[in-house]
Amino acid sequence: MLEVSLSTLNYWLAALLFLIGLYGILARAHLVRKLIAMNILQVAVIVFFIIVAYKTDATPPIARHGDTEPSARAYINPLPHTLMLTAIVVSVSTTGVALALLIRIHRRFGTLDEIELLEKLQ
Amino acid sequence: MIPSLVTLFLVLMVVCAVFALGTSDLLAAVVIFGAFSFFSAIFFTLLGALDVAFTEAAVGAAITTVFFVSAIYRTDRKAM
Amino acid sequence: MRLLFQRFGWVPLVAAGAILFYAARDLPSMGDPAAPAAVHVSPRYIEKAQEETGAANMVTAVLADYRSYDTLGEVVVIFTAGLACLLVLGAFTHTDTGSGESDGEMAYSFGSDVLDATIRMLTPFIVLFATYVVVHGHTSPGGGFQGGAILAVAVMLVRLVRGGAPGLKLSSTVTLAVASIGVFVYFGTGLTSLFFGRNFLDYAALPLPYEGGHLRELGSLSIEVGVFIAVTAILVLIFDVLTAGAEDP
Repeated sequence: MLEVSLSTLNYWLAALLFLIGLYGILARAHLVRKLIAMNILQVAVIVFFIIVAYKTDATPPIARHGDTEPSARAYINPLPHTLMLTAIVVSVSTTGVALALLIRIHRRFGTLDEIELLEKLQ
Repeated sequence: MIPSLVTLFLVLMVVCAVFALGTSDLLAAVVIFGAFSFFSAIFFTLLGALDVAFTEAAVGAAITTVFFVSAIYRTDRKAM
Repeated sequence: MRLLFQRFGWVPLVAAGAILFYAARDLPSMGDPAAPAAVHVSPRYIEKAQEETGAANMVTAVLADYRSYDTLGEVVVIFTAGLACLLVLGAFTHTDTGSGESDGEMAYSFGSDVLDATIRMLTPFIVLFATYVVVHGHTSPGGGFQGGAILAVAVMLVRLVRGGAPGLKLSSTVTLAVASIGVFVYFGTGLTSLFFGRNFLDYAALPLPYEGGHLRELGSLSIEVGVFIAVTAILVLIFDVLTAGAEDP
């Protein structure tokens, strides 16, 4: 039907991972499950950037011993890697704060289900 | 062989994500999420992103899983 | 309304998915060396990283030298997250040890003999590896964040098996102070450059008897040490806050 190359398939799988995370946030009622889905969403975005950074026939971005004139063709693009390191650190910080909030909510209301929480808040 | 290995690991990650959101036991969901983090670390290594794979394996698979398990321990475990 | 989301939550997702799948066919092919992402800015970083900054690891060169201001923002983000955890749950971490608890305050120190023997053999190597990863961040994959995460894992491991006291349990105030020292080392390197008449975080102004690439390598090493201290302390602090006081009132 449509001719789809292997690289498009990889992009589609990254988009599918993003959609699974988004579905988990929207449609699941338990707060911890929403948090797991949010983490899946963040990993999907990181996967997309790392796919963009890849170059064929290139090595990881560490200059080889004795290579004084590195050419940009022979090394994988290091700039998205740097951005994704920041993204991973921000993701773990957000998860830590969200879990602290969840423990506090459970202590106060006794439940972590969103539907029951909305009823208790009325 | 290398490009299709990348696609294989992406498919494994999608399967792990679907199961992590589908089980009704929260502890099982967290353990499958830890496996998802490890698969993503291998995926990053295959694509040449060594620093990102290192950080994801240390932070995502070890630390986030410990945080989740301690939070589930203090709240309830059966959930949907 | 909520039941509506649970039943029909997949409809907007199908629409979003259709848009994403259609747009993905126009993206450059994976691994194409002439793609726009590989042609702007990054060839300059790849070609000049080793001679200008003295670091063979280009990701560390970009993170700690060319874009060190963004890394300062990242360290402040994780510091703020630790502070927020402490504010939300800190009132419940008051550990009154005079209440008859047997070992420390954690209710789930496992204390089995097999785990005990294992961590006695593993922990020195984990600590050594964390320090190795930080110091060698310039010539191999590594850096401040990775080393900080591994050292935090070592501390958590000892605390989970043997309880708080052998795991170097400090009060939240002292752990927060250690994290502040890490952020202060990072910020202080930038302020030193400002003090000596150049831009913020410009390593050429540091008062050390070295030149050029070697001086910049030492500057980025000092900020990596600051990041290492801050990340370890904050991850251990978040673990503390999430697991303390496990006996609920």
